[in-house]
Amino acid sequence: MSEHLLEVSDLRVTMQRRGVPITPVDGVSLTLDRGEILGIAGESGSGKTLTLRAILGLLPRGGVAEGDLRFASDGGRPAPYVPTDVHGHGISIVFQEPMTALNPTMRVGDLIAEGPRIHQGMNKADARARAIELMRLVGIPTPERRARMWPHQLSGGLRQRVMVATALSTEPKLVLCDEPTTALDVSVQDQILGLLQDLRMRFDMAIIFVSHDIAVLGELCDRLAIMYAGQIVEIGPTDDVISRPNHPYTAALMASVPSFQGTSEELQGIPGHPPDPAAFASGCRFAPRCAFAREDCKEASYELTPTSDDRATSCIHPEVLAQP
Amino acid sequence: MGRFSFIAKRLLQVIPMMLGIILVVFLLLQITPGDPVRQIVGLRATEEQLDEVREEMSLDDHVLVQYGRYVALIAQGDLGYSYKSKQPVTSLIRDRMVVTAWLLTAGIFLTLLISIPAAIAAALYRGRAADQVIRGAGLLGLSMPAFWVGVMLLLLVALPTGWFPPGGFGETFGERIRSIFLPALTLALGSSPFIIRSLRASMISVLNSDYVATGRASGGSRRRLIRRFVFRNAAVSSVTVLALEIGFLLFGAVVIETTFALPGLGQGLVLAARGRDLPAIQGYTLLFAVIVVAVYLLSDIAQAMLDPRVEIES
Repeated sequence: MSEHLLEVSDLRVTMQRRGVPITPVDGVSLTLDRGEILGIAGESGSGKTLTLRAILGLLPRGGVAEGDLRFASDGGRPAPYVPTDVHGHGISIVFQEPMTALNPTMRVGDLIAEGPRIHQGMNKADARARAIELMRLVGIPTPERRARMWPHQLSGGLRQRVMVATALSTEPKLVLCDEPTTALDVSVQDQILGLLQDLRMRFDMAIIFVSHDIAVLGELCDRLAIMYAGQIVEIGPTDDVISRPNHPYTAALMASVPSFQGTSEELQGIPGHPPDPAAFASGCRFAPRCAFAREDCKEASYELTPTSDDRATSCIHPEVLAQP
Repeated sequence: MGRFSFIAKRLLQVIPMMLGIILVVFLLLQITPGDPVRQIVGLRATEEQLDEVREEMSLDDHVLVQYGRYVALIAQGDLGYSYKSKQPVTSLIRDRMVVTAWLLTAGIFLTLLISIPAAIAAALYRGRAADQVIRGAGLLGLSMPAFWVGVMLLLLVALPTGWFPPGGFGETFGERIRSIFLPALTLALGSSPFIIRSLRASMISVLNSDYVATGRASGGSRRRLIRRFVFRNAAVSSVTVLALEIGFLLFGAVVIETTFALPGLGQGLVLAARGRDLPAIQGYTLLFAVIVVAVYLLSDIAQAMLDPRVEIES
């Protein structure tokens, strides 16, 4: 049963904002199987990116992560780790903005070769050859020439491919993707998504893909987690979550996405604003914006309750969504 | 490659800049009150004698003609003759230039030697004790004037230990190092705080960048991360500050050379000004301007070498 590659339990990220402690990630638990693609969806400020960064210990300055992180680095059972153990040893990350995430003063080939040089002890020439091989693998044309270029000389799509090649260079078992397609054109987006799926197949790599774009997540992910106000409110197989949401927030999110909408129905925004981490509501955090909220929602303590073998929701009245 | 055409373009810009600087230096002579010819031949000379000298020096020609001739002479390395010593200004300057070049080079070297580790430490441990200490020391360095620091170094270091000569400039390499160390240190103590401040700030912003997170995720040592991901990016903006600093250092050198009795350009300029030796003043002014222009040019080139994106932003 324990095929898990990654186990995150009760992850909490605290930060200081103008001297006031806030908890933008508050009790996130999730597991990931080998070769699985898990999507995390949520509005900006829902804590999805911080969750991802906490797994690799790359929180912004002042951020502190608490909780239990376990990773199966060498094929065994998941074991507790500190982030620096898995840097270049099993977990890589792809950031949203390939321009700001690539060191502007290193040549593309050297950037990709950095991992192999550090972890596989390769010399300069071997690492460069490996970099060119990786560039070919991620579909960069004329890699020999482009390896000598600087990041700013490449297009956005190519830069993101370079980023993916950098992430792949240490042969990770898990790649964390922080909105890697958000900054790209739609056509380039599809290429990158195709590339990720292809790489997953070839290397049996697991991916956690964070995005606010439900359409992208629906296309790519095996399972989908929905985050709201620093908590996972619903998790389950992607198609089930999208077509039969078990949490009013998920339902509201789907209703606000054009591609999942019936032909004549109007798009519905979610009333109100995403909550500020300094002022999360007590009880169910979505209750103030929820069309189905009842009295007891205000006292509901957070718990992700299984509704079937592979699904769970934090809503205490999921049955409200079953009614037409 | 774009970067190198940027450098070439920058080199070409130096030409009109130099002509402008020469014009200003040339006008120095024109706008100075009093008749320069009278200064040369003395108060008791007759009008005929004055005319004779004036003709000899072609001072009756049109101003533009004189300017053209001045530029041509400078292009040939002729800065005229000192009124006082009757020697060519170039030979006056040549020996002094060596001293000042030593002082500046050693000063910049020590500045970097102090600033770079201090800035890295301050940025890595920002807000903590090391940062506070470095900041406090920087403030102290800023608030102490160079002549006072120089005198203190003489009194507290040079005289008690006898390791360093209290003044003058040595002949052999070793002597020169010893005689330049304290003046250079004085210079460095005054200029390091600026560099530390700017480098610390740019390092902090680089440390917060996504690409440093990418670098961290690649799992190398911290030293490797600083060397390959942080320092070069942070240095780009600090190079300009260093160049500006060198402009000030040049004038700081005037004070420091006086304190340590170094026969450098600063001392020479003071002497020339005191003696109203116009050709010498012009020569020094021109040289200082050339040094500043050269330093800015070098800093632009250094920036282009450090940052491959320079071509785009310029």
